[in-house]
Amino acid sequence: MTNIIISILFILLTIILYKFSIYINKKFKNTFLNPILVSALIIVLILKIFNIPYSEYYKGGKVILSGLGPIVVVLAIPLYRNRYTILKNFIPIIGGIIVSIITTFVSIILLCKLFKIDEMIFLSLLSKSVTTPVAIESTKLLGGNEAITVAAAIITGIIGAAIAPIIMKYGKIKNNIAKGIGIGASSHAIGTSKAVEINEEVGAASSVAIGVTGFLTIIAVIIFS
Amino acid sequence: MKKIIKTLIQLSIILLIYFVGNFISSLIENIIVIPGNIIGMVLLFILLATGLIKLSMIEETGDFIIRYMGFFFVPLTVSLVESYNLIESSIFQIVIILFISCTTVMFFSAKVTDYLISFREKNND
Repeated sequence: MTNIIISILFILLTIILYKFSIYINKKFKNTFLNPILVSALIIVLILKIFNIPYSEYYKGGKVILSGLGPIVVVLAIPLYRNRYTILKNFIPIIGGIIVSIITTFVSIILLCKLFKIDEMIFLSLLSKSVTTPVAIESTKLLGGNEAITVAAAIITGIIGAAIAPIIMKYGKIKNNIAKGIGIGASSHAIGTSKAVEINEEVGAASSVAIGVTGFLTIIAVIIFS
Repeated sequence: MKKIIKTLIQLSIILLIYFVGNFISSLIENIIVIPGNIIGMVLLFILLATGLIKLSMIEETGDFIIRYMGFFFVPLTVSLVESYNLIESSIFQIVIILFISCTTVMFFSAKVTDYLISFREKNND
């Protein structure tokens, strides 16, 4: 019984803080005040201050996390509404995604060499741009640490959601489909949560990118590992 | 009341497709790993495209979920405190690496797609 009450309390806390973080984000119009990041930071702070172990928060957190599967399914809605634009740009989309996979591998290899990162961490970072279930699988194939990959994927997603508007503006990306592909291919579903905010066409392309990038990455890893 | 029932029905359709996606995913996992939610997305798309499911049957709930999709990632981000000790020794470098890599990947893939789209549009005219 107490577990159910704890669970409900933490779910309510998360809802309230997320609503509050959206408000903060709108008020200050700073893309780095990403609602996911702000609400998570406040929760971590609350847990630390009151000395609550993460396992207690997880009682409510896991209920929210169970929604992560179905939310990807409903991304078929923006995809369906923009199907003609997506289909028309099939080749540019595949081209952009292949570039994203190559850039991910090359940048991680070079940067890990530059910063002299442990081989174990290096192998775990290679799959950070793809959706978590695929990332875990490809890290297993590469021989990395799954928990590190999951952490890297989350951090990447938050970074992607935060920098997306800046990259699109200063990178002079004109086309909505191109914007979505950039966001989805670099920062999977967390980035896509930002893409759907920009507009529906960007969200649709970002959703396509999650699926295709995941699929092509696992194929690339199977071939090269 | 009517609205609650409508939401529940829409939610059930979405969940059902998700579960079917997971089932298909587990059937083919020995051949290739494709997450159940991605298969679910493709499945829902096919159902919409063939008209077996009308957009109006899932639209309201679906759009609501998408509008607040960031919310579902909050506990995942909080969970970073659990895995923090794994990367503690080089956390600073890792965050810099991820930042540079994410920026580069996003820029190049968007730019190339943008270029290819304008190339296609020019050739079509």
